[in-house]
Amino acid sequence: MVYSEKVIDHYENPRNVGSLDKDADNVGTGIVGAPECGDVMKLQIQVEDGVIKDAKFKTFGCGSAIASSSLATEWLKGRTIEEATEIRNVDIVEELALPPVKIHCSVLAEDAIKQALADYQKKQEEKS
Amino acid sequence: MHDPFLLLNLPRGFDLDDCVLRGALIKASLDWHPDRFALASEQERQRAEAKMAELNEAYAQLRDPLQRAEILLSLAGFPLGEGSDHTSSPEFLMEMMEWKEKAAEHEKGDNPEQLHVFCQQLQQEIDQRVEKLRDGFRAWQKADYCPGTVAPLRALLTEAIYLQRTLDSLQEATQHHHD
Repeated sequence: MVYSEKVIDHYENPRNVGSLDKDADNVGTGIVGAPECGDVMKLQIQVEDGVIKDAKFKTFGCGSAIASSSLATEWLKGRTIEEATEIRNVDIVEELALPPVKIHCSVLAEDAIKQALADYQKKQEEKS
Repeated sequence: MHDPFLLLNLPRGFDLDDCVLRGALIKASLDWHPDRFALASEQERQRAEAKMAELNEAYAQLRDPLQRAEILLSLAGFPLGEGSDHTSSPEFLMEMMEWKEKAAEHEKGDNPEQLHVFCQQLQQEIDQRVEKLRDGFRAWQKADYCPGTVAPLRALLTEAIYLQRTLDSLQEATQHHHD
């Protein structure tokens, strides 16, 4: 498997690795997996005044899965919730030049973003 | 769809004794054994070889309980599907995350005893699920493969596959270390 330079860069220097307090009101958590490759990905966002101030991830999986989630956290930071919903897996594929066999890694990242946003929104609804 | 049970002339089911399976392979192989084709044409020999490969593949698939379960679900029209998992609960995925974290530590660490204990723990988790799958498939069969009871089977199998992949890659990585 030949990885693109961008994948290798994210793999070797992953951005925003870590965890946020999943019980905090303003934190949304998404956790997804792909059983066939055994990958598990956790992605969290911290929202202040409708803007994503911080994003963290933790991924156990191949280089492409790590790079996809690392890139996703980079893209999420500074976006509003609305803007965050616009991130599509095809954008990740394009940015990282993922080969067809690794497209599912980007889908995983998109699913994780969607789940994290949904989790955050659910918490807000429960609060109000 | 490719049906390994049909190829080996076995009844479809999760309960499958190793001896019975082995016997079925030998029986099915008799007609295709290379010795019988020593004097046959190149074309016929190739056909026999391909058939033997197919039979061996079917045997290997059915011998592994997780693959067997996956095949049974596929044949019944409920394939697990590829890519993202929409079956597992977030709680299980969190638990899986912890298993993976520990596996990563053991992979880096240099304590064969602890590694061994950890691998055994993972194996136990897998075995527990295989046992439950056995009961589940029996119940499903009794219920005439009613679609209503398939969801827990899929969830169990999905969990077992995660655990098995984790164990496989840990063992592969650590074998490498000690070679």
